[in-house]
Amino acid sequence: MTDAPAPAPETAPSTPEAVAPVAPKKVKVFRWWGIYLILGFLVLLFVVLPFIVNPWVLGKIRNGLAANGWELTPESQLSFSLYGATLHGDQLVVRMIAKGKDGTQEQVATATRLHAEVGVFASLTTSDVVITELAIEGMSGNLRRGPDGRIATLPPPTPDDEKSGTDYSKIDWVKWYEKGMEQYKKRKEAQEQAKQDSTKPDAPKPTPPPPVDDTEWPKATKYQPTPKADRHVPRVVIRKLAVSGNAVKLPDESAFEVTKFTFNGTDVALRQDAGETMTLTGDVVTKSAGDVTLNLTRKPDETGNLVIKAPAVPVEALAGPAISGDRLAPYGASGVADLHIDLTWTGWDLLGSITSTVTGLKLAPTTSDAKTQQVAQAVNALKGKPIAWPVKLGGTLFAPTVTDTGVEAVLKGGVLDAAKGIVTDKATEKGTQELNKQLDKNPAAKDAADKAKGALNGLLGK
Amino acid sequence: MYLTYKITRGAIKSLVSDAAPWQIAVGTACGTLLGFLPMWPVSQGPSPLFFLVLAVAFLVSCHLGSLLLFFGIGKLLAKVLLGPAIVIGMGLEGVAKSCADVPFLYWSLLSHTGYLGLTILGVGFAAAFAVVFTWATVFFRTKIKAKIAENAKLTKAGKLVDRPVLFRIACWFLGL
Repeated sequence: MTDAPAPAPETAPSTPEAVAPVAPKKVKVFRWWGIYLILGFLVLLFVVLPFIVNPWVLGKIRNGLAANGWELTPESQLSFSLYGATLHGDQLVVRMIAKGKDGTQEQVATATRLHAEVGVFASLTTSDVVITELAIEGMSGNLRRGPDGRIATLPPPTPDDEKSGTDYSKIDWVKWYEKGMEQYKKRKEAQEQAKQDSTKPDAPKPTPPPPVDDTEWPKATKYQPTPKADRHVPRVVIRKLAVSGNAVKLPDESAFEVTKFTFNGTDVALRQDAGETMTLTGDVVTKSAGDVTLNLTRKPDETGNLVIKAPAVPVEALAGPAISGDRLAPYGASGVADLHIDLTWTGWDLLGSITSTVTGLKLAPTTSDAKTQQVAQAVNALKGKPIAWPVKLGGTLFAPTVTDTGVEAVLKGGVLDAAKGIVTDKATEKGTQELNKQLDKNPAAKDAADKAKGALNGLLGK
Repeated sequence: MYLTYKITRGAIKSLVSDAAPWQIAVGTACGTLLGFLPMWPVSQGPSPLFFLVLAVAFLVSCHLGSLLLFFGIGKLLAKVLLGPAIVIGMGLEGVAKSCADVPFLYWSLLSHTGYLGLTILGVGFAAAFAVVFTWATVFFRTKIKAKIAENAKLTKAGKLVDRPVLFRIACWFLGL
């Protein structure tokens, strides 16, 4: 027996003919790890995106401020959260970039806290900027005029403004209102015209904005999207607004200087969509013109109502030249007015009333004009007794007019009482019931009443 | 030189890989197109079309070697062909204007005459490269690869007399 291994069986030499044909490899159309790769990329994007978007949003805000000549102070803390869709700020101070003659930068506005929640989905689906909630606390503002009469903290004048050569120092608050409303009207009319044009079957298509040249690629041109006929720029709408603050410097130092205010609103927007009713309520405490409350309702069908109540407004404050120009100033009026302004409008047509009870009205004319003196004499004869004075307003929102001076009503009420005093002096021991007859019979009483009527007409007619 | 070497080597590897011709065609087309498309110009922002094509290329089982190779080639061509791209873009002004009103195309910078021209060129080159490279792959695998493999066997057996070292280097280069 030997341990020799058995001889290995002879294997047939391999030849190319003997190799079995290899079946073609089956190739999958989709790569599953590709899905994981994309998912991984999306996760990475989710993590990285806030580091890109958040500074970008804050940069946009700073650029927007800079376009108006404003900046945030370095101490201001402003942050944006992409996934929280919130903008939050603490101790915010907005100031002018340009330094004044004394080397300081004028403050534009401040707020101790700002919190805004952005409706991302609503914004994406409507192409608007939808802010679901905006709360500002401890706000203050500065709208004071500069040496040239312009509001110093507003953007610098445009070339058109400069060409117009307007003397801003002579523009009073009433004119500011008229100017503002005129601009609003022009913009609104342009929008309405565009809307009407777009609904016509043969309406020309809105023209797209001019193309932009690429600075990095000088020969190339980038075309911009054609704006929607009724929406040239995205609209900003605030679903819930709550602002509170203090110390708003108005264009001119006056009794109306705001020392504390609170505004609450819903669906606040300049341009309204169907189904949105804007409401805004405000409580304002002024330096020495008492409290003012405001209640505004505005509907998308171009109707609205504004109620302003100011129970203790000094007439001399109203008569200030910076506020009402030369309308009341020459009369040197003093007294306290309990004002109730109720305005209703449909489209541009205004219908409203100012009901005021003026107490202690005295006139001390600053001019020697005969008519003014006559008015003063008549009003002063009323001896400052309370006068209920309903004035009817009409015209348009941008040019309100007095349609009824309310003098007749005044004469039937407060002035009659005052006239009674005059009559009593002239014709003592006459019964109150016979007073109306006396007015007709007694030339002095009649004259006093007529003078009062003329005076009040004169006041409102200016 | 190194770049040329890498490109040539990459192309040859694609030819001799196990990938099906359609995978190479898709990889070539996507790679070329991506090379011509803007990715993220600093002044313009990211282009959604670029990332969509990239996602498709990763999802579909295309040949990634071809994708990368032709992405590089496409980028180089796009740099060279800026002038013709502008001419094409300006000729298609109407298309650029229309693209401005379609948000996806607008954000993909197709309302920009330069990038529009490059994209058009990219589509043309992608189709041409895909066809040519697929044909080259099939031709190489069916006609040339077998011959080279046969010669390699003969070289190993010592039957190929002239310059066996050079031939071995050539085989290594070709990945055979």
